[in-house]
Amino acid sequence: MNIIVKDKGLNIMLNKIDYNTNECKYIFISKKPEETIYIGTKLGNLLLDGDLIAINGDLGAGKTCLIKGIALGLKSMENISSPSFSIINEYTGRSPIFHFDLYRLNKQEEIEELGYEEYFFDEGVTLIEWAHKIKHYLPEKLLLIDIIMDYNNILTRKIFFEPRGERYKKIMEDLKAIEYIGN
Amino acid sequence: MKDIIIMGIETSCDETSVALVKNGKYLLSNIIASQMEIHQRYGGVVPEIASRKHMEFIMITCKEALDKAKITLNDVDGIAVVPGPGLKGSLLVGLSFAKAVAFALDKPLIGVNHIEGHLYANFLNNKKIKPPFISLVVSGGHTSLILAHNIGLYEIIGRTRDDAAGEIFDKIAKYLGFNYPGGPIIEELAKDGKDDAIKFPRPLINSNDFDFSFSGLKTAVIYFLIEKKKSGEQVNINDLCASFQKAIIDSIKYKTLSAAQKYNISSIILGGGVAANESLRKELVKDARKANIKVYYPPKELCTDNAAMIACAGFYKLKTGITDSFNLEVFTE
Amino acid sequence: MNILGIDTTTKVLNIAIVNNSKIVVDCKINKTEKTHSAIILPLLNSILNLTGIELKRIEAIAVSIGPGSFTGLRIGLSTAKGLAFALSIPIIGINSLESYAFEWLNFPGILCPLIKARRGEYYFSLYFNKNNNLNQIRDYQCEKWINIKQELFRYKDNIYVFGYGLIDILQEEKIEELSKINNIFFLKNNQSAANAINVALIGEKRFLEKKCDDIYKLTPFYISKSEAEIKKDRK
Repeated sequence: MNIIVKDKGLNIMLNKIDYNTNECKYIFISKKPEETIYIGTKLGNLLLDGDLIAINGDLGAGKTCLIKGIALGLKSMENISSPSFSIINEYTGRSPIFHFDLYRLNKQEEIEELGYEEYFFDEGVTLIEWAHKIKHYLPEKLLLIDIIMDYNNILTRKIFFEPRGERYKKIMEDLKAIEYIGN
Repeated sequence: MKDIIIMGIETSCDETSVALVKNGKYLLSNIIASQMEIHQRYGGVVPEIASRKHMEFIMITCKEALDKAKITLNDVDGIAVVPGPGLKGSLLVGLSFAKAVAFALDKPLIGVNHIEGHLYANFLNNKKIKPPFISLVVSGGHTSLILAHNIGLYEIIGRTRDDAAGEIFDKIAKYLGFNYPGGPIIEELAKDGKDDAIKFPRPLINSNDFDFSFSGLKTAVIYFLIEKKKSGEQVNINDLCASFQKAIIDSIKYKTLSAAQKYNISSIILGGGVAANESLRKELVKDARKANIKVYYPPKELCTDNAAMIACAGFYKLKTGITDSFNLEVFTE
Repeated sequence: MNILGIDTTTKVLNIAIVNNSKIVVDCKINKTEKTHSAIILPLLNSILNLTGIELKRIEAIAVSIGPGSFTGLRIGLSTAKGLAFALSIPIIGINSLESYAFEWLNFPGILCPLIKARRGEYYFSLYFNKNNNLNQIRDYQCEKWINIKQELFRYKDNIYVFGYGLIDILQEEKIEELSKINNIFFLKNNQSAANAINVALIGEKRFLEKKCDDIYKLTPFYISKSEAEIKKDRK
């Protein structure tokens, strides 16, 4: 079932794809970085303390771009820069935001050295780039996002959302249902 | 005039470093844990990978620094430490340790911003550079332009809005299949390439401020490589490296010199790992000379993170009367 | 002989000084806006001023090495190392579970201290009293209460369970404090796990027995998740 939403000339479509009754995935096609930021913002609007989002994608896919949008949605006024070097950036917003970038992690055990438990299960929103590096440390309930580049259409991204757990399923349903004035 | 020895402690991210500097000029010792051959001497719990293992390394690094300088803690007149920016868990080790030592010795504690520290790497073994000056700190973690009105009085006038320059050097290098650290490899390959072979963008070059942006350049290089792969064309790796490096250098040069001219500054100081890049140094010096601006840069081993620059900064701040109390907090950004 | 005890492993910052097994001062501050990092040394300074004890009269530093808060541990242990190093005095690292068990040293049976961890799990170990010293029976582990209970049932002796987070177990079992299930006796729930007094007291014992730690090698106690454990958890 598709819901087409028009907003100021942008055609945005968030599809729910049921591969089978157990899986639940949504796909958003972004035609340019601004649209990635846009969907991130709408997602950020829905997030609360304790939410955790894992974001995977190749170099240049737009993970930090999406996170800029999410931070905007969480009303953060801060400069969202890449924590590739510092690994964890913390920002203030409607909720505290913990921005992880695990690009430099060589072994997943290194996450233990960073006190991850105090972030993942603490009072804030956790956003993790290159999350697949710590598969075994991620909680069972989270929102998994995969950003896939389209090699035929260089600016386009296919952004897959996979909610795991009731809370995240609700977030995705709310995201899908958003309508805007100004068709 | 009594000699003043400052102990510098730096644990802001990966490295554990302790240094001792006399009178802000003479480097008595500068110990970086990952470079130490302590693994033999202090066997046992010492881990193989040194990154961010500050709890394991702080003591031995400190002891080694004192031993190498041939002094004891009683000869130390002040403790300089980095409270930020950096990784909280890492910063806390150095800061807590430094505070405790300063408290027990009843000596002053001086907090030194990590970026501020890079500025002072130039003061070691160099004649003192009089403020005001502009400092460009460019590394894997930072790309910032700082206007130093005076010792301890700084203003960040420009910074990266996304990736740091050193970061994209490393990421593109890794994308090309090179080992870490990739920056020096790209620099080397660039020497045999034409820097105008490929027109990469210089993002934000026309913005009315001194901010930087490098993620657009990063994606431009990636897209270029993807297109070439699709069409089956060969890529001249030297030309690619030269053009990519030139785009970074042009952005940095333009913003830095514009800032110097706007604020009427005649000295530019470089710091951070990318400041070791010879092309950057050469081009900046050349263009700055045309505007009667002098450019200073530290020796390569003081460009990357180290405690010596922190100790040096500590000396100058102490002399100016800037110290901190024991409720100094870490900050991450 | 003054021994300084530091416990920063919980939300409560706790500093104590003991002298010949007598408590001189015990100071606890609940985490507020300011972090342990900002408060620990000013607090120590105040304590020394108010008690009139000079820093140079402290003979050893005892510090809790966890399990507990990641950042708290780093602050406490790094501070303890800095003090011990600068004052050239010994450092003793005490496991939080042991400092808990010490509270009930005189109970006739096996002691099972618990510290609440994340995700419904508890750090625990088992001790009994031998010649007025704590003897550890089994290694430290982090487990769900249901698994801990199964293990405790296998013992013939009375087992006393206590610690931080006990209240959740009592709710889970639908019982009150000071009740029992088979051989397991539940004592009182602790408001917090901060325990600088016991850290100092055990530290003093070790200091007298010349069983101090190597300041270069002392690290926080951490029960690391092996891959096998993680995979098991996720089933």
